[in-house]
Formats: sequence, structure tokens, C-alpha cells
Amino acid sequence: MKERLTCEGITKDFVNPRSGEILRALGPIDLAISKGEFLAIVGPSGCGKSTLLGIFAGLVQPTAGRAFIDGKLIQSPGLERGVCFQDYALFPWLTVQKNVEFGLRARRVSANKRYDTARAFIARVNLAGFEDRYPHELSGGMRQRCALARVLANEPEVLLMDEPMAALDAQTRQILQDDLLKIWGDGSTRRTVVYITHSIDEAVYLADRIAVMSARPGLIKAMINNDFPRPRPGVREMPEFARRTNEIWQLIRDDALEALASTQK
Amino acid sequence: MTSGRVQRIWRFVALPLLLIAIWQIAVSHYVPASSLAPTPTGVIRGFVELLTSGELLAALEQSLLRIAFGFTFALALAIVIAVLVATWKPFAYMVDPILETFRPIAPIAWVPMAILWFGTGTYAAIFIVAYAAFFPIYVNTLAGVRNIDRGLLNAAKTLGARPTFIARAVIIPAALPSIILGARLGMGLAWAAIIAAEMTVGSKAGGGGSGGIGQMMFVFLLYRLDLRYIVVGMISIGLVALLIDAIFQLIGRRVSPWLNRGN
Amino acid sequence: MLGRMTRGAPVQWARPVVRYVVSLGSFVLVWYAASRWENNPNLLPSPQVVFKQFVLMVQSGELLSSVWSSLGRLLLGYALGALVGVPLGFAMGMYLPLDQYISPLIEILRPISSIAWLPLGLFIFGVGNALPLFIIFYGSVFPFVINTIGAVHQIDNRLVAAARTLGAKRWLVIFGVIAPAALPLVLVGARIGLGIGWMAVIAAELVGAPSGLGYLITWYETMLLSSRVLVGVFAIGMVGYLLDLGLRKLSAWLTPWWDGWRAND
Repeated sequence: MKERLTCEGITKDFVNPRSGEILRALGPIDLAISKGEFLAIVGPSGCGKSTLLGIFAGLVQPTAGRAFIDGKLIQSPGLERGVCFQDYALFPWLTVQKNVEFGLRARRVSANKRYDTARAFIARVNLAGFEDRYPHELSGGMRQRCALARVLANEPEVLLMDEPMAALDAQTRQILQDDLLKIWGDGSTRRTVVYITHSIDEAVYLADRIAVMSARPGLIKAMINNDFPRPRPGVREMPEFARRTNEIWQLIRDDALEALASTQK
Repeated sequence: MTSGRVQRIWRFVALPLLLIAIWQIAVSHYVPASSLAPTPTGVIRGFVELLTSGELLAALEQSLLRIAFGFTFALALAIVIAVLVATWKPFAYMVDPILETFRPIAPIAWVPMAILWFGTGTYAAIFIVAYAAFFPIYVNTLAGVRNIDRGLLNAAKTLGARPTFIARAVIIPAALPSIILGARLGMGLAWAAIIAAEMTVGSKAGGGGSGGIGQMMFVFLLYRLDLRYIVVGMISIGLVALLIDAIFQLIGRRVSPWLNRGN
Repeated sequence: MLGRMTRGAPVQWARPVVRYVVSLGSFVLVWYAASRWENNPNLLPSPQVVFKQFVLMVQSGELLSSVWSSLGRLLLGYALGALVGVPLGFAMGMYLPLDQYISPLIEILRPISSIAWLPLGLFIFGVGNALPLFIIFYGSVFPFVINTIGAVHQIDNRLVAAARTLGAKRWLVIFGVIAPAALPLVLVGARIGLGIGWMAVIAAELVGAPSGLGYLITWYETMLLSSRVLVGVFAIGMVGYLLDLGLRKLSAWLTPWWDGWRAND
């Protein structure tokens, strides 16, 4: 079956501890993601994108509905679903090398094999030479790459990424986006990627499909087929690019304005 | 009441109750009657006895009075010195190293010296209390003053205020939360210090002369050997410590409401 | 004027040293003047007498053996406090029900300072080594427990989440993530416990021990040898300072990734 990640009827409610009021943060969501697809999720703050990712990751339990990977129910984290967190979540007490080895260590891979595998992936993300540095000694872009290497070292079939480039400056971001696409692969070796971002530009540049979410409750407002041909180095100059980003922006705009107003209350 | 609440209350009292029960049973059934080991019921009775005879309250009053004097003195001195150190560099260079040299020396270490200077009476105790309370107040006030937003000070200066006025009207109010934190810590240390001082003095003076609850406990140990009373003394010490801390927390919340609302 | 005299790069590091010397030097001068004015060697011995006594006490070995006795007790009681307090703190930090059962006991006992236990302790243990050990243990165990609980609670949940998505099972999460992540604040608790412990040794020795620095100063106080008492007092301060410094350095070495050390000095 070509569907890699699916979910049906996913909802997530939060209970206000003081008033007992139930707030529906997310859902209901139905989604089907194909093998090797790059899906981006965009939406205003508070629309539940991170929660949805958390459900796919097995870190968050939905209030209702179920999520599946290759037909199997998702209930807890698993190696086949690698997660890249927003602030990288690198272990500050471990060097780059040791951070990347972590998942291998958890699987009891032998020390030699661990060392070599980690080394290879560190090189793949262009971080060679920094293996013995600690996270706090690295720049934002380097930390991002370290987090990526750590996830990739386990060769997951699915990559779940929660605003991985949010904390980076624009130039670093562009370089890393291209790196990510390279790592994403070609043809049949392509991994499935679910990529959350605030940046519409980024979504249109990277993704095959874009899910546009609205907030309160978080729902998928629209599914955009983003079928620009790959590779896409010059796509940003194309007029269709601007049209597509504008189209998405129009969908989000009202929600975004409302989100802004509510935070100022 | 929700089941969650009941569960929390049960968990709260379970262990203490269990221990008290074990204590009572162990002493009354497994320990020879002639031994001096106290039972929980015995302690409660001891509490009542000491309260009604007035001894407990008199001793506590003595100790608290000493603290009041020592603490107030330390408070004034520490705040003034901290403000000076924070605002006047030459003063800081001279005074801060000296203070930092003395800070590691625990108050209790000064008890023998205090006895040599002041004898085994109230003045020694007040000295120890003042010494103990001084450092937390000093350190916290200093940090509080140093962390004052530059903008506030500049605003005051551009509005034409003179240094002493700025100190009174800007620095101290802005540093007040830190000062109160320091006072709270200082008071806690002062209470512990005075108990220690009174006990040490009490063990030397053979039970006479110094008064206060620390000394009272030593009298019980040396002369009347009623362990119940000693335990009563310990519990009273704990209760007063809690009370003092609660009072200071309350003061803190009252005095700086703007801090709480921000959080 | 001093500023003008000491301008220039090679002298930069010397400035704080010079200031320190000038400050303490003035203090010693004031002390000297006061001792001359008071003119009562029992009340206020002069600096040179104190220094002479210091040398004598070192030569006779008396000072060092007292320091040794006190330190031995401290380390033993302190180690016990750590061995009990840290695991308990971890357990309570990770399992809320355990915290709810035990916390009341802690809150009841903690206000009763370790020193308040001296009379009862004297009765139970008599004069000797057991009393100081108990007092030190009692005094240091609370900071260990409370600070360890706090340390566990402040752990960034994303680190644990990341570990789980990398396939870590329970024990690797506990020892490979929670323990290192909590370590900085556990060490802060260790510092507090050390300060309390050092004070507790002295207090216990003042009252009920046949050796050690506390015993030393009270012995000389009965002999009315205030100069020797002062030597003891300064020794207590010096050892306390060195202990704290040592622990601070050790902590910085153990947790180089933590930047709280600057704030905590």
C-alpha cells in the first residue's frame, strides 16, 4: 500500500484545570500521506500543528481518533518515525558524536559500528570536524544539522520535523533547506517527510503537498498540490511561486490576524 | 470532595500518622517502663504542662526578643552597607573583600569568642543573631540593587533627584523584593543561630544565666532529664521557624504586588 | 590615582589582587589599632599574637589534626546524606505519589534545624563521633532531597521526548538523560548541603565531641586563650571556603555545558 502515514478522526481536547471547561484544540483531522511524500503543514500559531505531529510521533495521545503507520496503530514513539524538534533537543552533556550515536546506543549497536555510522552521518550533514564539540559551542545552523544527523543515524522511514529552521537566519535556512532536500533522497529511497513551518515560502519551496490549517479548533482548511518539478533551485523566481504563496497566505491571513489580536488581550 | 482531593489528603497524612503510630506502639510495648523514652501522648502532655506553667512561652519570648534586636540591627546595617557597596566603588573595594572573607565563617564559630567578649548572657546571643542575619540580607540586597534597571535610575537623575533621595525613593523600593528575600533567609538563619548559641552557652553555663529556648532544652537534658520536654522544645522550634517564614512570605507578597501580577 | 598608576595590560590581572590586599591590610591595621587601644589581650588579641599562635598551632600539629577530625566527620555524614538524599530525590521527582507521601514528613522535620537535635542527640548518642555524624547527615540530607526533586522537575521534557523517539527504553532514559540533565541542580543542592554540613560539624563539636575544630575553639575559650580561639575561627572560615570552592570547581568540571555557574558565584 502506498499510504505510509494515515490518521482518521483525530481530535485533541484540553481541559482548563480551573474552570473544567473542555477546549478542542485540534480536529477532527483525516490525513493520508504517501510513501516518499514531502508534506508541509502551515498555519497560524495555536492551530495545533505541533500537537498533530506529536500524535504521529507517538508522544501525544489523541482524545479521539487513531493514527497509523503502514497500517499499524501508533501508540508510542518508534525508531521508524524520527523526530526533529523545534529547539533541536540536543543533549547538552554529550558531544556531537555522542548525540548522534544516541539512538544507536539505545539499540545496543556495537561501539565500533556506532562510531563509524555516526561519523558517516555527521559528514553527510556537513558537520565533519565538529564531532567532539558540545552543543553549546555550536551555532544554530550547526545544532540543526547535528539534530538531523542524530535522527538520520537511525535511518527512519518517516521524518517528522517541527519548525526545524525557525531559529535560524535566512541565509543559513536556505542552505539547510537544500541540504535537507539532498538528504531526502531520490526516487524509491525517498523518505516520507512531514514538515511543520510558519514560513509559507519554505513550504512552497520544499513540499509536494501543503496542508493549510486554521486555528481554534485546528482543522485542515485546504490541501494544496504543490507540484513544481524537481529539482527546484530556481523556483523562487518563477511567477507561479509568488502566486502559490499568495494563495496560501490568503487562506491563513484572517486566522493569523485573529491570533495576533487574541495574544494582545 | 473529588476522589483526587481525598487521595491527596490521604497521601499527605499517611506517612506521618504511620510513623507516630509505630512510635507510640514501639515505646509503650517494647521499651521498658523505666526508660526515659517519650511517647507521642507523653509529648503532648508535656506540651500542655510546659505551656500552662508558662515556661515554654517565657523561653520562646526570650529567644524571640533577642532575635528582634539582633535582626533589626543587622537589617539596618546590611541594607546601608549593601547600597553603599553597590553605588560607591571605592567603598566597595575596601569593604567587600572584608565581608567576603568573613562570610564563610559560620555564626556558630563565633560563639566561644562571643562568650569571651560578652559573657554568657543576652548580648552574646544578640551578637550571634546579628552576625547570622547580616550576610543573607547583605548579599541579597546587593544583588537586588545591582539588578535595578538602569533606565529607572537614569529617569530619576534626569528628573533632578539628588543621590540620597534616589537611594531612598528609587533604589530601596526597586530592590525591595530582594531585600525581603534576604530578610526571610536572614531570619531563618538567625533563628537557627540563636538556638545554637543558646545551647552552647547553656551547656557551658551549666544551665543558668542565659535563658531562651535553646538553653531551656539543655537544662532539661542536664538537670531534669525529661525527654518529653526536649521533644516539645524541638517541635516548638520547628513551629516558630515555620511561622517566621510564613510571616515573611506574606510580607513579601504584600509589599511587592507588582511582582506577583507580572508572573 | 590608583587607576592611573595601574593602567596597562599586564597589570590588569593585578588590580583585583592589589585591591584585596589593600582592603584586608587596612582591616588588619584597624584591628591592630583597636587591640592597642583596648589593651586587653584576652578580649582583643593583636594580629601579630594571633599569627604567632597560628604558627605554633600548625607546628604542634594540633591545628591540622583538628581540621582532619572535623573533615572526616563531615565527609562521612555528608556522603551518607548524599547517598540517601539524591536517590530519594530522584525517585520523588519522577513519581508524584511518592513525593506526596514523603513530602509532609520532610516539611515537618525540615524546620527543626539540625542543631535543635543536639540535646536529644546527646542523650541518645552521648559524646563521641556518632552525634556529629547524625547531625551532619540530618542537616545535609534535606538540601539534597529538595534540590534533587527540583532538578528533576525542571528537566526540559523535550529531551526526554527526543530520547524516546530515538528508541531509548526506560533505564537509558533515566540514566542517560534524566540523571545528566538533573546533575547541575543536584550539584547546587550539594553545595548548600556542604555549607550546612560544615556548620553542623562545628556546632556538634562545640557541644559533644572530644576533637575537631569546634572542640578546639571551645577548649581554648575555657582557657581564656582568645588568640587561639581566633586562630580556630579563621581556620573554620578558611576550610569552609575551600570546601565550597572545591565543590564549585568540581561541579563546573562535571557539568561544563551548564551556564548557571556564572550566576551562582
